[in-house]
Amino acid sequence: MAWLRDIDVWFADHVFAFHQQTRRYAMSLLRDEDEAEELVQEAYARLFTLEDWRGIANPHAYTLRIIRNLAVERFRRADVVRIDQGAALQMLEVPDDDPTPDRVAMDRAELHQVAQAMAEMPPRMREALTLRRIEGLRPGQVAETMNISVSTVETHLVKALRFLMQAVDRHGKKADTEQSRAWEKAEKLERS
Amino acid sequence: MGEGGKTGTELKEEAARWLVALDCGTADAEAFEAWRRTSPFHASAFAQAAAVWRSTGDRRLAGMIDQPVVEEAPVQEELPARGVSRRAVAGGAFAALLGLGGVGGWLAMPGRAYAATGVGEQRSIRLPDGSHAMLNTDSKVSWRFGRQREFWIEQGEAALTVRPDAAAFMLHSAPLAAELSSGSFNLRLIGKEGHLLVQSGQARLDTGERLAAGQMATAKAGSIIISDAPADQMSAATAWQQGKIAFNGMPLGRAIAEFNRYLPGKIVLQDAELGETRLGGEFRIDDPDRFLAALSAGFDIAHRQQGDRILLYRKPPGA
Repeated sequence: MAWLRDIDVWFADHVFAFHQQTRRYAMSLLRDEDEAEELVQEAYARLFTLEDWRGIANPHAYTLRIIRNLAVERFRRADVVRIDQGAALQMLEVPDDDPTPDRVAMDRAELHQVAQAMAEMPPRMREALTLRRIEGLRPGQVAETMNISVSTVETHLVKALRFLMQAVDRHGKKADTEQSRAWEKAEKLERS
Repeated sequence: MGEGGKTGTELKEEAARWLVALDCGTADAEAFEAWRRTSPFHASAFAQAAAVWRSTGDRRLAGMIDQPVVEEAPVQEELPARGVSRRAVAGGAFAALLGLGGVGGWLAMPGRAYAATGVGEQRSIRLPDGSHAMLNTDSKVSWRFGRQREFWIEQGEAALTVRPDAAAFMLHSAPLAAELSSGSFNLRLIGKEGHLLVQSGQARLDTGERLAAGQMATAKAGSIIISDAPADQMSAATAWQQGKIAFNGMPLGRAIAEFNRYLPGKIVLQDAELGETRLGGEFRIDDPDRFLAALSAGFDIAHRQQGDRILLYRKPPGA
């Protein structure tokens, strides 16, 4: 799998593993789903321009700092700075640079999310994905088992992957909304 | 997006297509590298797709999802097995082939067969390959035999006698999962804990560790400990299958907890200090009265019925 580079594995283990937390952080700064997503994507892209990514002690905290700096830039450019945003920036501490623990495997809650998303897939899509990924059949064998062409297998797999990626987004959004509500509640309490 | 007008959604779509094409060996490697080099947004979108893709290859997923199989539901037989207590029957204990769905916690979908026992009930199930599963009281299991032989224990306890077969036998439960060789095994779930005992044969846990005959794995609070099984654990695992419950110096508190697994109306210890009393002996699961009589004769522990509970207390002096 030459197409999977070290940086991809590093990214999966140390950055994307904390994707939901990262999104929640961006959301707490920007209070807008699209803007938050944009900032997260920009921060991720910046990681892929780094020469010395291996030297970063805590890649998750590093990512949060990029997001914070991007948010600050944005607020400075904006004509009207919302006061609560400025306040949020000062309140939110980025975690320490302690090295992130090596994640050998997903925990069961995350696994369960993947399983849940797979259960919700259309059956043929799920069948293709299960045969390829869990039973480990070669694409040709999957095609044979399902009695379809290899290119149809590919189509199923692309859709399955998109389905899962969207499930990750949806899951994040649900958590974001809950988090924002908690924030608003906390603010109201402070003001009263 | 901060990149050439392409929306995030389009990029994610492209990344997913590249990834699957690479996985299936149909991608032009140079064209892919050129695409990836175009922008760090491309590289990042691809890495995100790869991370999600990787999550689908986790071996443990096999036990968590189901996919419809074209296979007839296996036959269950030997309805109700020995050991049904009178109380259990009176209490309306049930035994049902649940058929499809309905078993909470798992993603119930076509292709699995389910079985359950009520409190006080045990039953024996012949699996499609001739292997055998014995369910202890208050247990829920399911199985699916296709390319692999898969057996799930959701609740309670089951003893498995696995027959040799080319297809791997996978045992799944929330706290632990293992591939079993032919042999005899006992898995008991207590809350979130799991205790897997190998009576004969071998087991390989999904974490990679191996268990030989006479060993047990205890999964507790996220970690798994492997040890030689104490003699009382080994004998308890065979005793329940004969409808017996064995106490070898077990503190009364634990002995009662064991007995209560089989009783719809529970025994309650009134005197906490009585719980330390150690007792030995073998009793019939379906005959708690004998147990209560033995406590009275041997330990001066009396009992009285209160509602559906049985209260144990120290006999007053001179009684």
